[in-house]
Amino acid sequence: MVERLRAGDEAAFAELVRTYHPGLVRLAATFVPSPAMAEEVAQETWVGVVRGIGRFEGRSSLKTWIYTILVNRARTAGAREPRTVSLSAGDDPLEGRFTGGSWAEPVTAWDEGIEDRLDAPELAERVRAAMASLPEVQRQVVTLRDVEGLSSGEVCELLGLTEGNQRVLLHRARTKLRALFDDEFSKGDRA
Amino acid sequence: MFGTRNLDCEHAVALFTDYLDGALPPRRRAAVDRHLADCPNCGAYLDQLRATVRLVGRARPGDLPDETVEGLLEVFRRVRDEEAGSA
Repeated sequence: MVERLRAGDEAAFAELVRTYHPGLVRLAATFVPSPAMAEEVAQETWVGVVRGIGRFEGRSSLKTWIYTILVNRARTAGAREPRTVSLSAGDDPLEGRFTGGSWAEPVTAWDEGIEDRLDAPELAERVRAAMASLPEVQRQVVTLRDVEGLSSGEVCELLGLTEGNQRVLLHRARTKLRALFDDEFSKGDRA
Repeated sequence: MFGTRNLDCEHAVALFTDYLDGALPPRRRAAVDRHLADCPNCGAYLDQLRATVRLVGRARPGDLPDETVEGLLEVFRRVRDEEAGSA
């Protein structure tokens, strides 16, 4: 792929774009305040990829290298914009769920087949809404790990986190997301 | 810290992300396994965490529209030709 890109192969570039562009936009959206800016950052990333491909040494994967360019550009773009502070930064979804270390109430299983019954656009919208409520860095970690499927090591490298940090952030994000889905999916009545 | 003592639910739950990543040291992982063998609530919670990861992983938009790809190809050609011109 790298050789084909260096040779100016358009089909190779189109393939790369189809594979990675949506993920780049999703990740950029966790750094910048608007979808339009996220698209812009992703486009600028491709310019960086094309300009820099001659210097790519293959020490990381091509995917990680592309994502690194994106994170650098997104951070720069995001830094110029006024921040909107997430109001949900501190809450713990499991607060009050344990007494003496045990579950205060039984954990209600989700409806079997719920995952299959959700169609793609509906699911995407629910996930998008749930993700939007997460603090920024949690959103970045869970996007890279669970949406984009990057490894723990790759995410640490991209975001400049220790393994420990990364796992705490991922834990908080997944705990929050599970709680949001639970509100929607739990079968039976909840008090 | 946990040694071979039994975990309570609150501690087990706190370890679940590390557990799913295979990042727990063997004795702690074994302690989680022992707890899960006896605790349907924690088992249900862990299943829900796994389902959460699957749901989030599935929420990827479909293929890019052709015009987006075309637009990016234009960028590619422009930069490629610039680079070639300045080589």
